[in-house]
Amino acid sequence: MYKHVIRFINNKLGDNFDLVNRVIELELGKAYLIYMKSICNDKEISESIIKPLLTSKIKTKSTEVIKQEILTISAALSIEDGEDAVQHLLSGYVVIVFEFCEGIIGCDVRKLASRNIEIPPSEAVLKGPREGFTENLMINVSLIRKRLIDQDLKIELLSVGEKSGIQVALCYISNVAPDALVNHVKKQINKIENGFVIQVNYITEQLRTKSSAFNTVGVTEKPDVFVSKICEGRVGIIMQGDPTAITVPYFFIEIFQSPNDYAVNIWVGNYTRIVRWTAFIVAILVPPLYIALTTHHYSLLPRMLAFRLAIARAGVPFPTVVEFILLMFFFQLLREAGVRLPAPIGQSISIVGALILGDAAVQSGLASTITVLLTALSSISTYLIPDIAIAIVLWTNFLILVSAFFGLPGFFIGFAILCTHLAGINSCGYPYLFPLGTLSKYKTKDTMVRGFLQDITNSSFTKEDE
Amino acid sequence: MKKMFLIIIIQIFFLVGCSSYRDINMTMFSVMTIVDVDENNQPVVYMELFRALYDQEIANEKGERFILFGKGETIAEAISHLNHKATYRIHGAHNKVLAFTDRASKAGIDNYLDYFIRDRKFLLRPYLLICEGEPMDLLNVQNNQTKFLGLYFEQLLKNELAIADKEPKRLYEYVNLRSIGAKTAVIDLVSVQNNTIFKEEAAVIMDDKMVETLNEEELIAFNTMMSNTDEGYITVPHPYIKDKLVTLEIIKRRIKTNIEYKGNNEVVKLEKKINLKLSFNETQDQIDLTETSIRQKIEEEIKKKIVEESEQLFDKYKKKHIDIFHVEEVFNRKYPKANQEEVLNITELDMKVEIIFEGSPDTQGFTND
Repeated sequence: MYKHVIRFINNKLGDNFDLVNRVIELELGKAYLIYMKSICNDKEISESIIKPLLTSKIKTKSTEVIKQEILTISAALSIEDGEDAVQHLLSGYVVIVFEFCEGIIGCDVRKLASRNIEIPPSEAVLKGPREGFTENLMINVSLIRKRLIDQDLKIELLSVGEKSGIQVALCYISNVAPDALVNHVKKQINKIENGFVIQVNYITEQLRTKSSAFNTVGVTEKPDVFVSKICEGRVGIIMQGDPTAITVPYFFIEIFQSPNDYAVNIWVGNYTRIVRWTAFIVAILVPPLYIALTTHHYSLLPRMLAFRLAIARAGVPFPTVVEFILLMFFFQLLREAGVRLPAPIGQSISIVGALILGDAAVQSGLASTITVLLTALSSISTYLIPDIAIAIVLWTNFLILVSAFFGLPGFFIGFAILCTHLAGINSCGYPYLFPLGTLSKYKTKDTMVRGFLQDITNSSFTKEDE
Repeated sequence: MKKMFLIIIIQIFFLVGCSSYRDINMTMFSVMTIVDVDENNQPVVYMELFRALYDQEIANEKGERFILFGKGETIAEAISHLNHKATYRIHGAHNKVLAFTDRASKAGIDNYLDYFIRDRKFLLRPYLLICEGEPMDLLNVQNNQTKFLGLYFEQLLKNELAIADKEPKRLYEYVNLRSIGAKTAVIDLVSVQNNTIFKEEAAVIMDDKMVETLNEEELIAFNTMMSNTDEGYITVPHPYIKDKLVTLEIIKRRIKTNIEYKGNNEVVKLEKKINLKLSFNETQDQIDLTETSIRQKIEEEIKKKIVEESEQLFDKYKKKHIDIFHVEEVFNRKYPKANQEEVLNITELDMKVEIIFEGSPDTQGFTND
């Protein structure tokens, strides 16, 4: 039997340079240790497997006895066959087969390369916890467990990807998260039929609403945020090899919530949250409103402003709408260039773009100062809510077009379409606009503004307000 | 249901349409419109216009002022004629002042009003003025305060010290007044003398025709009776020193109007109760405000002045059968079934003035020895 297993493993993985076949001579016969050197802990193998095998005088022919009485490794299990052995080898196990007894033993000696726990760059905070998830699932789970000591916390392991078989952990609190939600998430994850699943976005796309640019799945790299979401009854998903964790359901109001809000004075936190709401309104509504007013409804502008706008636009060769869409597009080019390039160069590009290109566009007469100002204002406002920045850009362009064609009626109808769209989408079956515009009596103590922490800590979106 | 919504939305789109798209810099804005009549009694429309320009010489944008005029048999024709001379289509959204010359007003402005009321590019917001003399004389006045005459008048008519809060100041107010009561309105009258604009008189418009003029003193008396403004001054003789004056600032003015009619063509009693809060503002000689008798004397002087001037003005216009005090309107509102004609002729004015003196800015200053 043992020869068959060794042959099978070597047939499957023999071409890999890091496959190690170690033979140990024992009293009753040979023992074969097979492992992938690159993902295993050599010291652990020596100390907890080889040393006990060599020093103990093995008289038994039972792998169970060896597992329980000889090996000092903390995690050892029985492996069924060659196929199973290969899977375990690839996961960082040592596979042990013996000349003198049936059965295969697998010992967990994983040592996966991982970076240190760092501050997530996309979710930097001024105050509060700074730890971020890493690409290592076990480290991430430990970060969660460190914060959530609850017997009801369930972390189920699933496998995604027919070939890659990547590990995915489903986290929820059993009597807080609705069963239907947990089952829905599991069902959706199991639907993924890709051979290789490389990043968590495969799962995100499976869970999110397909017909919207707005995010209906929450993403975070901060374990404290992840834990707080789980405590509210959401289901969280973390994946081996990806520092981004996702939570569902994800509501529209969450876009405007920041970990900082809970770490600072309530009034300061609420003020900054209102600033974010205002930024959303400015980013999405000001450009189309400007277009509608300056191309159809001059009478609604104050006289001084109307004349100044007219003077500012004198000599610009393009219609206002074309000028605006072009500038919005240029700004997107700058944003993309800033993101793609390494951080130091990206910053330079942003400064060059904002200061020099904007000024040059005005000086050359290709754009008016007011359009540059409003484009910059709209674009900068999207930085306050980066989760939906591109969704805002898309909707702003749509509203600009309907406002240019139909004036204020177009603007209002476009806005109504936006509201209808937001009200129409859902996140894992929950209305996206919850609790805004829903008649439910769900707890609403942390929506437009947050309440005192002692009042909102036990909130759950699944429980009705008492 | 969905189809219904779709149809409604599409209909709204068709109502506006992209044809109304026009960039703001591709538009000429009228700032002031003056309607005159020519020798054939046909309207001539003068417009002070704003247009944004790109100046190639200084490589910069600027706003320029243009004066254009157009003639026609109607206002619409005249404005169309005016548009033939304009580089861009003229828009009336920021027309701040609508003025009629005294010639046009005397001929009757009813022929020329409808366009400004009906046309959607012109709003009902502009201030209404009557101007004496030639429109070009007014438009060519060198005004250093603002480049645009329309904006000068707009700011002047918003300046609370320069105007009285009486109706009608704006077109929509006049449109209301011309259809109720005795259809009479008092509108500010401007004139030009030696390249200077004067706005000290008012034109009396009855049935859309200018019938009379209120001089400066009459206008002050009229405003005292009709205006609720909290700004203004009253000057009376010094209580004890001859040829010296005392000026008091109006801090608050409230006018209550009541009308009493017992039927059977009996006298209609128009009661005007004016409550004034005044503050001492200036004296040309020493005055001791701590003396009750002095304050009482000043109070009596003010009351006497207001009552005399008001009654004088009321009687003058009663004799002319011009109801500038809106007596008929007030009467009709209170006694809609009275069926009484010529209400003004049987009306008597009863003026009651209440005065409160409030904190003088510097009481010590009045008694410096």
